[in-house]
Amino acid sequence: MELEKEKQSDYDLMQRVKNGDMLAFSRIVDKYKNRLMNVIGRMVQGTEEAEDIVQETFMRVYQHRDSFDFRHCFSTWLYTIALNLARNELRKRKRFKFFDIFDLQGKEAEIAVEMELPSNLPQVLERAIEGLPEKYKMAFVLRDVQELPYEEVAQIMNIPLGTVKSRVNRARAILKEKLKPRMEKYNALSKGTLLPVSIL
Amino acid sequence: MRCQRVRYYLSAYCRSELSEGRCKVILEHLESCPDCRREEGVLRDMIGALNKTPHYEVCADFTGRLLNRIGAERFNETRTRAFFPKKTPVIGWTRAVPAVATACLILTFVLTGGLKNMYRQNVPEQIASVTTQNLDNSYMTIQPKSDHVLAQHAMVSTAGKDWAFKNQLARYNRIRGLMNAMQSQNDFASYSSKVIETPQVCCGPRILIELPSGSSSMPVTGNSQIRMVSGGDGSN
Repeated sequence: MELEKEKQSDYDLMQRVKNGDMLAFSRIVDKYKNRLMNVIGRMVQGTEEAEDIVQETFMRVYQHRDSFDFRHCFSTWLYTIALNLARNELRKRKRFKFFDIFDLQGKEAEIAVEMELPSNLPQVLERAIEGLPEKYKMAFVLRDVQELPYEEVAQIMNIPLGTVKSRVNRARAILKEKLKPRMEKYNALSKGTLLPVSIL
Repeated sequence: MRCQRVRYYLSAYCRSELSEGRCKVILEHLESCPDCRREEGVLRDMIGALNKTPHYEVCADFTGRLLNRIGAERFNETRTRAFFPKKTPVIGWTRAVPAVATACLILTFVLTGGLKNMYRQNVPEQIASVTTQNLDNSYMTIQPKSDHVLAQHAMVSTAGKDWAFKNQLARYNRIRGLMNAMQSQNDFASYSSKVIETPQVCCGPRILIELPSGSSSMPVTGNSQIRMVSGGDGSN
């Protein structure tokens, strides 16, 4: 019901945007900018690049406002544009890879410190998500981070529903395997069955 | 249900994505299997950590910058439309380049002589020059060309490429035959024509043919000429 209401609201706003109402467009931007940023930021792993992509997405929405088909869901259209742009960005990066040795050294040290601290679990999980293969990451972020229904994820990614479920499940399994040792250690610590050496 | 199967559905179970029946089966298994329960604990912790992961957010002036960019684009669009309205679009490079190339080709063709050269290539030279001597506007000189030109024409005509040369060659042969006949019979007086011996390089003698009275010029066209040359009776 809530979803239907939101869809209708999007349609109304898009109709107004089609008629040249910039206020309606800015409402759409305000509604979706952080949602898109949350997905794209995780996909491209760079705040500036992600913001550029989000901005470009809204530009495309405005430029092609007349071609929006009201039979389809607006958010699906929006996410599809954004993820296509993100894919292009990732493809570009694959072509031109640059490594900063000093930067890598710093990151390694940072990761090592984080892995030792149990309180930084969300950050560690964030890094584990970054390390997922692209296709699993996209499905996982849309489903588990953004909490979109499976059907919408399938439409956005243009793949069958079963494939989406399989990819999400696979991504969860990969993450679980990566985090399992650390989680168990964390659980043991919290239950007082295992104490770190530094405390003893 | 086996552990492997339960673990496959475990993440979906933790997120309440499974049907009621399957949930019940998994719950029963979890009560009896400590390993799978541990797995469930890890997954639930992971979901909890996922909710605590930092959210990416755009910067504060994002909307303002975006609207400014759209405004700039709209301004450019309007200006472009004002200078180049859609009804008269500027020719794109994809169309302009072939058009310019074709124009260049036509220009080159015209400047280098074009059809004239092509015609010359097909009809290089007359096999006999025909001039009218206008002492009293009643004689015409037929001068056959040199042998090598005739040979060339003969080759062209035997190749069957140009009917015009065939005509020319046939005409020449008729005239040549007439001249030979006149010379062999040595009977110039019976014809209203004269053979004038002039120093030639490699051509035969010139022949003056009397034109019919009243005509100032005569087209050299095959049979009509021969009949006329033969003395007015029209027999030859």
